[in-house]
Amino acid sequence: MAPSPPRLRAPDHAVCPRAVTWWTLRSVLGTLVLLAVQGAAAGALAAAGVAVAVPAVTAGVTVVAGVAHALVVPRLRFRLHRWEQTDDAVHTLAGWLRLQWRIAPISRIQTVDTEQGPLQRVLRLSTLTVTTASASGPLRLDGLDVEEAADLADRLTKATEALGGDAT
Amino acid sequence: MTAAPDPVAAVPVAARGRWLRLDRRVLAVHPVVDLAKLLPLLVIMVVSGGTRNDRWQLVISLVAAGAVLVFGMSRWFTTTYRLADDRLELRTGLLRRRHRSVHRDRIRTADLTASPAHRVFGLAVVRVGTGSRETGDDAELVLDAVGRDEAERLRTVLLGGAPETEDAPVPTVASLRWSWVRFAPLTFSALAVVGAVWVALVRIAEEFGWRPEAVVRGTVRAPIWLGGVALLATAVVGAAVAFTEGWWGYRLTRSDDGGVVLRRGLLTRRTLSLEGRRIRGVEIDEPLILRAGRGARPLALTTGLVGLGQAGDHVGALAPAVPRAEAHRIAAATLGAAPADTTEVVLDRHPPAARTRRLVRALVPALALALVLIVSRHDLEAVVVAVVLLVAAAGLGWDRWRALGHRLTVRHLVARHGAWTRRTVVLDRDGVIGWRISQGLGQRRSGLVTLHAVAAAGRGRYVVPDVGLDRGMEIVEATGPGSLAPFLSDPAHPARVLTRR
Repeated sequence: MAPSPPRLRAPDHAVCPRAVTWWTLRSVLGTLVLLAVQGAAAGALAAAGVAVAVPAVTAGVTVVAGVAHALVVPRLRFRLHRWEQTDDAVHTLAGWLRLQWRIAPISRIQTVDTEQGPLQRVLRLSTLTVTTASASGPLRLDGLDVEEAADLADRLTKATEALGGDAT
Repeated sequence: MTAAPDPVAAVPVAARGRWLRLDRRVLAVHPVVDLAKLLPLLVIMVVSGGTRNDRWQLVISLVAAGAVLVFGMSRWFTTTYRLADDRLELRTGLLRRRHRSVHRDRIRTADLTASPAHRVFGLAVVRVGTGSRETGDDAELVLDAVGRDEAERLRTVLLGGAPETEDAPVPTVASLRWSWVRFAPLTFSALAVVGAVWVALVRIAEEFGWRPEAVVRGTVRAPIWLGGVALLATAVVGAAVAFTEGWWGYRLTRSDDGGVVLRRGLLTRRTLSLEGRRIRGVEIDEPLILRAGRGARPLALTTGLVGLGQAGDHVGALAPAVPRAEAHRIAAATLGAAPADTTEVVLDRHPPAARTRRLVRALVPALALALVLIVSRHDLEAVVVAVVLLVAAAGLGWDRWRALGHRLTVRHLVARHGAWTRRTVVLDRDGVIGWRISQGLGQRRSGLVTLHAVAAAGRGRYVVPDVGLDRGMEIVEATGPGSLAPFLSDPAHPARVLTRR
């Protein structure tokens, strides 16, 4: 009997629960920005004398979609996003519509940075960015607790130094 | 048998430790180049008479030119460089002195370019790069300009090669064949040239006072086929001219360390050296129109190649558009292997679910467009166009499916995809420095994943679309650094790790 395809278990660690709040706030802010833009457009149209039916409809759709997004997506992301550091690589699982599993081997890491935006600072969260020699961009871990991120950055930096090399 | 003369020792001992200046002929080049830039303006001024406003313009531009001239000449006085045993140093700047030094170990590129003005005076510009991803001033050291012999000496010394001597012929991989010019108009860049040429012509006409409206009215009244012919002619002629200028004297030679040296150019002569240790793979691009003409472009995937940013140049191009077999041969020769083992190796097919996905993704937008067309214009013409659209989309989707394929050989990961531009990528297995495995909603149901191999070379990420889940994991496990083994588990016994050979 042919063996069934091996299942891949998800990486161990989830992100910090406060990340849900952060994602929700960002979603709400995004919706508000969209509404502001549409409001400005509606205002311009009204001044020009054109009917504001179309902007009103799009504004309504934006509100509904925005509320749905803010309620559903952050919680979904919290359930799906994962990360883990094995002996030789950092693995992250991210995304909600399109899942992305990223593998960054420790021997190829060039820099490890943590950063905090203003919202993240209030919520005591931080983003870890791992760059490699590739032109295709770094690996990003969102929504980590501040101390957890600092700890992970520390461990990765030590592991990278232990290996050395050009990392290309 | 005497050993090859050491290039560093060949320089007089006094010069080795001394700061060298750029070539004196640079003082002559700059005035010539700057005056040449002013020439069109002067010609227009003379021809169109020029108003009082124009005379002011002339005076201001002459003053500006004078300032640029003085600045250019001051550059000669303030720029010096020194090539020591372990580093290259460059001192520049009049008001703000900059001292830059680069370790010779970190130097990855040393390329020469010589514009027509430089060539007349026997000079060349040397660009030394470290392959780091910094941009702007730190990206490379530029010596503008040194004598041609000195430039060649620097190039060979910095890249650690032996100088090419007459009695040690270097193996040539490829040299120019004029029959290749027939492929030049088939690349997409040729179409871009057309637009640029017409815009430039309109601008010049405006400068001379010819009213564009008259021209436009004339063209509107002319039959459409005339316009089409004009565009086509411009594209063909423009592409042929660009090909001649860019690839005149093209020669690709292989050097000892497995790298290649590429020389080309008519007006601007370019010498590009790709070291063996920087080459991580090759790629063969076949844009749709070029593929119809049975042509292809070979490219090299290298670390740290900074694009010289010239229009129509492909970063890492090994040859212009050439016949397909020739492209495969050149690409494989760059890797030091045969085409049958690398670029033309037989590829494994992807699962049937991938075919469905390709067709669906091609047909759905076309279907939507066709419906909109039919609904908005209830006539036979719309139906015909819609049918043509659907057939074309189905053809494109089928072509995309046929292009999909991958293979893991001993040294390389070979992957092919795309219909609009069919790309066959041969990537060194050692050159893969990470992975991205992504799975969209549709792929989750059909058990497919898309792999992105992250590399330090070329574009950075190379895609293997729509492979089966277990095959994808096999590829990642077999190739890349970063093992998935800790995550694999036997579904019957979750605690046991399933090992895969």
